[in-house]
Amino acid sequence: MKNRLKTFLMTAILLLSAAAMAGCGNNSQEKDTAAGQEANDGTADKAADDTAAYPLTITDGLGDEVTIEKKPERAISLSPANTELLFAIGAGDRIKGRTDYCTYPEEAADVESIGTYASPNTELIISLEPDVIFASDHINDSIREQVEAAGAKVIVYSPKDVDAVKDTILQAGQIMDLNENAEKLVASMDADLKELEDAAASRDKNLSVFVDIGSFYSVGSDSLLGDILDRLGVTNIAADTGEAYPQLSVETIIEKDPDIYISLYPTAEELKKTAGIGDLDCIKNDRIIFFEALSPEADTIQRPGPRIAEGMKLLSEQIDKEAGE
Amino acid sequence: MKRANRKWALPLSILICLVIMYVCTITGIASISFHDANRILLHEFFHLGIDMANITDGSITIIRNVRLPRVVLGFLAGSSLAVCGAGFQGIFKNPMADPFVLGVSSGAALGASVGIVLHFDKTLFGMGGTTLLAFAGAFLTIALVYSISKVGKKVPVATLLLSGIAVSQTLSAAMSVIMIMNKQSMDQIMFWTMGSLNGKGWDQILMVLPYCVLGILLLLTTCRELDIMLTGEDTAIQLGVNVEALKKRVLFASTVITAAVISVTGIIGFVGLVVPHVVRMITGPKHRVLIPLSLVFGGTFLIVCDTVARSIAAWEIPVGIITSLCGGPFFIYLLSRMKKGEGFS
Repeated sequence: MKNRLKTFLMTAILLLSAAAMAGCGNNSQEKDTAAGQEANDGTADKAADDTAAYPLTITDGLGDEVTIEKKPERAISLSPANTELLFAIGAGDRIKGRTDYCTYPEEAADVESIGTYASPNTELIISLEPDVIFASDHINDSIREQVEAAGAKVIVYSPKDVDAVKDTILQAGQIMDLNENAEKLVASMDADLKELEDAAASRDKNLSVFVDIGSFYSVGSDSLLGDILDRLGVTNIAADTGEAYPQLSVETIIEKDPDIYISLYPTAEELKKTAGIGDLDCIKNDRIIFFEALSPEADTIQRPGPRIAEGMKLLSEQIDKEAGE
Repeated sequence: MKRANRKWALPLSILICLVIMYVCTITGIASISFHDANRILLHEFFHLGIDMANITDGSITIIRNVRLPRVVLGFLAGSSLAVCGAGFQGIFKNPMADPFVLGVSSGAALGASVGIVLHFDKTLFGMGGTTLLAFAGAFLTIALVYSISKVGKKVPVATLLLSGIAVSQTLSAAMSVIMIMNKQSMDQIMFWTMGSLNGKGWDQILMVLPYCVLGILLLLTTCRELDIMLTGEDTAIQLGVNVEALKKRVLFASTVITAAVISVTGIIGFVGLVVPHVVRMITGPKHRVLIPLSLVFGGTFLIVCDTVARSIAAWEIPVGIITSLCGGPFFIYLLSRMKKGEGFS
């Protein structure tokens, strides 16, 4: 009897923790989408009177409300996309810290690095006396508390689609008091996106692609790349799994038989040698688009920053080239 | 278990294993009908003049180059890990021992992460760069652990376990350093360590097969001496067992097998720990029965777990999660029944 009770308790604990984990996942996702919308509303309201900007309350990518008291003079970026964004809206001279991976634009090299984005050097960050820190969702809570205690405002951006990327640009424009630049930038992105949309409209909707980010992990519709594929008017065979980054079985890939294989990690030779994958028509006929991991090209489609339309153009051209063959 | 039952245990479990292999081959996420799957299997195996009309090339590829190799590799990996676990538990006389206790997995993972970070793409003996470095890492680790624990000509078990843990922790830390310093490769390293049979084919099977067969045969020759070891190391020495040589044989065989398997599949936990225990509960501690049965059970267990991993959702679930999630509660259940003294003996 006692044992049965124990077994029951164990099972209950296991089930509860599983449920808790599942719950957490859902919550954060909901938060993300909510944040995107709020940020959207926020910009619409504030755009009307951009002179009386501060104190300014914004809602960041995690759905947290952050109040900026005065125009920030010292900013730190904790992700390559945020660094690109700040330079693109003309706030480059106010960036006092960046990560090791911020490789674009060239001027970023002149800014002091504070380490990697998952584990930046907290002391270094605080010693740079930032007013604002533009982080990604990699930032860890304890580091966040410490830098906030030192007086910095932390704004987290991790846009999951192209519209959210535009929202972050507009919002960063508000925060840094560079609204005009941000609006211009978004307008030029919109022009590019319009062109891409036209190109997408004439594309065969049945053209299917598989994106391999390594070990058959792919991108679902809730990810930036998933949204990009959608906008380019192609069918992403990993769209409907309900996961942002699902790993597909080779079996599923063969069954869906994609027209084009987009690889962000394995090379064409490796794919040809992989069991089952090598038998796919797209691999046999070399309809492979390969972006070497961390190459400048791969960065443009993977970084949720101001060059995203540029990356989409690149991908769009490659898709047309492979589809035309 | 009664004597008569014990005689039938091995043939019966082999039969069950074959049935499960068949069921798992025709099960999967791709919609290939029962009828079609059987037609493809008959065609592949017996080259009969079967009517293959209406069957797409994709379906044939899925059965021939995806599911069959996964089932075969699942059997190889599962049985190898289970046999190693049984051997280690016997030699260390420690129920907590599993194939990774001496740090083989940390060594392999460190090797693999170096390969991933350096984009090492040399091939040797049919092994890819990452696989090759993982294999080398596993071997060097065991060599290091062994040389640390060697006292004169003897290798005390307690020292071996302790140095295994120490080396294993150090190597894990080194791997973490590599991951932190190469954030861009972090995902790829994570994917590797999680262990999966996805995308593995006949090439990989041909690569690990010689090591597994060799290692398992070597382990099977140690059964009798391991049985004598059950009475204690001193008694075994008095009965004429060369205990140090036996340790070396078991260590060598297990390392060869484990290194080969995990350098291809990544780290799949739990099989090597739990399967020997489950088998021991059913058949008793004699290695002559324990090792062959662990082989069959371990293989079957991993095939089933891998089939679940690739079939229940639209995406792959890392097989290590399934082995722990299925194996853990089952093991707890067996433990509680053992305590009550029901069944089994």
